Amino acid sequence: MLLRPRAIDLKIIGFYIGKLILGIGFIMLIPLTVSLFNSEWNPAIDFVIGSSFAFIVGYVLQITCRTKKDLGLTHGVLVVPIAWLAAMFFGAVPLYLSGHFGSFLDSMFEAMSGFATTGLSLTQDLDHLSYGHNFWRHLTMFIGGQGIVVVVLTLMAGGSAGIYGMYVGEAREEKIVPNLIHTARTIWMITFLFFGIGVASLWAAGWFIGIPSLKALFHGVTVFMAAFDTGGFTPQSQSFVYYHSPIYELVAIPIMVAGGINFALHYALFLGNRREMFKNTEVKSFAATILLTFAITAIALSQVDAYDSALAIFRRGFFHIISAHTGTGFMTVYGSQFPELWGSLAMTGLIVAMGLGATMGSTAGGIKALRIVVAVKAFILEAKRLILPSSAVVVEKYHHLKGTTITDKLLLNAFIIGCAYITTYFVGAVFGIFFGNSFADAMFESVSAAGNVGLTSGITSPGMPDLLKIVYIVEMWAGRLEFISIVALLGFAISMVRGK
Amino acid sequence: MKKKMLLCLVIMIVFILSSPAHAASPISSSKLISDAKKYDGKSVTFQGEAIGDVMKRGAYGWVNVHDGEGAIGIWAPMSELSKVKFLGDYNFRGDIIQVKGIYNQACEEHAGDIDIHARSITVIEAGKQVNHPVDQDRAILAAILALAAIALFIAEKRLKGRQIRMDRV
Repeated sequence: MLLRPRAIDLKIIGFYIGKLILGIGFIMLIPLTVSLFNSEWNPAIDFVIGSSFAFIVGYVLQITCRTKKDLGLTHGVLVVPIAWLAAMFFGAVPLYLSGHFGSFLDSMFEAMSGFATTGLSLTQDLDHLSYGHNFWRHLTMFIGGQGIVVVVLTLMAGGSAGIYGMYVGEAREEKIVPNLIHTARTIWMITFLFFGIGVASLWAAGWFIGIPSLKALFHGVTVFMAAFDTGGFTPQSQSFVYYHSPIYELVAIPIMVAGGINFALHYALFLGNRREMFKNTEVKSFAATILLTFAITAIALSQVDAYDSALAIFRRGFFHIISAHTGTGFMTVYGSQFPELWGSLAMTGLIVAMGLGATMGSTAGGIKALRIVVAVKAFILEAKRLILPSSAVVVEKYHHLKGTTITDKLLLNAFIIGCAYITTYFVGAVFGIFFGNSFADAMFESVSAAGNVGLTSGITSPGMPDLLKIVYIVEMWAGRLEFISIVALLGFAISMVRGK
Repeated sequence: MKKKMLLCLVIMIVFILSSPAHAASPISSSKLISDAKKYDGKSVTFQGEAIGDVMKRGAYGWVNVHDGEGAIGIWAPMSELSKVKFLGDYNFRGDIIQVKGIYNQACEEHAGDIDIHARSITVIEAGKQVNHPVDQDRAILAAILALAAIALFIAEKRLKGRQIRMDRV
């Protein structure tokens, strides 16, 4: 029998959503500062409106939903998907006020694309967007990549079972250190370490390729946020085509890869455990699928004579495979060149890379390497059971920070999430085909949205049908949160209506 | 009669030669990208707003030019690029420039870039600084919302304080 949620449950959820909305309001003070620094008065006003609006709604929820009851695990899981929709809504306000979006739906698309670290963009005339608004687009990626809840967790003093529910709801299960608040702070420490190195490298590369130093710093900060959080927005409309530089691409590649690596592994390396990098099965799987998908793409590009030299094939092919596999979405070719110049086999290589995604506990989307490892190991396990005598004890293990035995529970989890991703990829593709796109283009765009990648075959544009924009928003949202918390939210909504 | 026919023929030839299709009219970026094979290695004219930065690379450099549909990278000698004075961003409308040069679908020299190797760059219309007067209605709305947010902040703090005091009692 379904139980209708009590008023107190709604109050608890409302209270914590209010807290997260307040967090969004506070974070908007950063682009407000950027606007003021650049004497951009109208954008500054946009951020005052956006931030104040978030504060008003956040405080109203804090006052009306105040309760002494603690956040439970279920509440925590439910808060996350609603909070992400709220973040999309409030994050879209200053973007819409910029005048660079055709509708509020377009600005919500942009905000969700940012928070979900996808990188598909509907900004019009991006090259004339203010520094403040442009910074906000990239900051949404930084916040979303780290996890909106992780950001707020670090601001909270205490913790409860519900906080863990929120953490899990945001597609993070692994605690890097035993305490959850310390885990959130460790994630930030690792991020800021990379931030320093990454921004300095991109700044130097930008200056070296001819961008004035202050502007090169802006490019460095924004591109780092999009690369490390595997987002894919860029400050200019041409993505990485703008830079015309192998040096800039070379600097971005390790940042994207670092973003695609599990934070727990970063922490192990930080503690001096370098051997883990070579022992970790997930990393090996990630490296193997990078090589495999690059091989497919490189063979396809040489078959269709897309480029004159092996160097050009390597430069374009490898960059895009890294961009796709880590879920970043930076491009060094134009979207329409994929079907026109690269052809369907090379696109297949990219689709596979996007669909697989990077590693668990990273900022990337997609199915993820560890689930592929579990599926392959389970397959081997079954094959061994068939071949070996029935009395033999057959065990399969993988190494991820510690040795783990493949269990039915692990396999079921990998199977459910993997199936959910594949179903979403196909459903999104059906909508794309319905609106007159080819199967290859529609599948490419759908996998890019649900895998939170951001590469485009050219479908995503301000002129695309509103329904398709909504479908991609849902795909980005569901893909980023890895479905479970959204299914819980659906169950909650049903119990509200049909529960007793 | 023959003279008239000859005159007609001459007029037709002059008309055809001076028609836009042969006067190297600018080709749009979307056409250059979608019909890339057709224009690959050919001499083209492209026109649009210079945006972002002039990125100097030795004696040559890059500038990206946006024609309203999309942007394409222009590779040109710095002597030509130095004609570009205004580059489009939030504060400036960039120079509208006309570029004549060779279009490459996958440039051999630049490891597969789509680009135009410019022979000449002409500034068609000089760029200018863009003024953004403060939107006063929006500023008033921002002030009202900010005051409301501050009032709610104070109310929430008082409520929290009262609750803590009651819990102590």
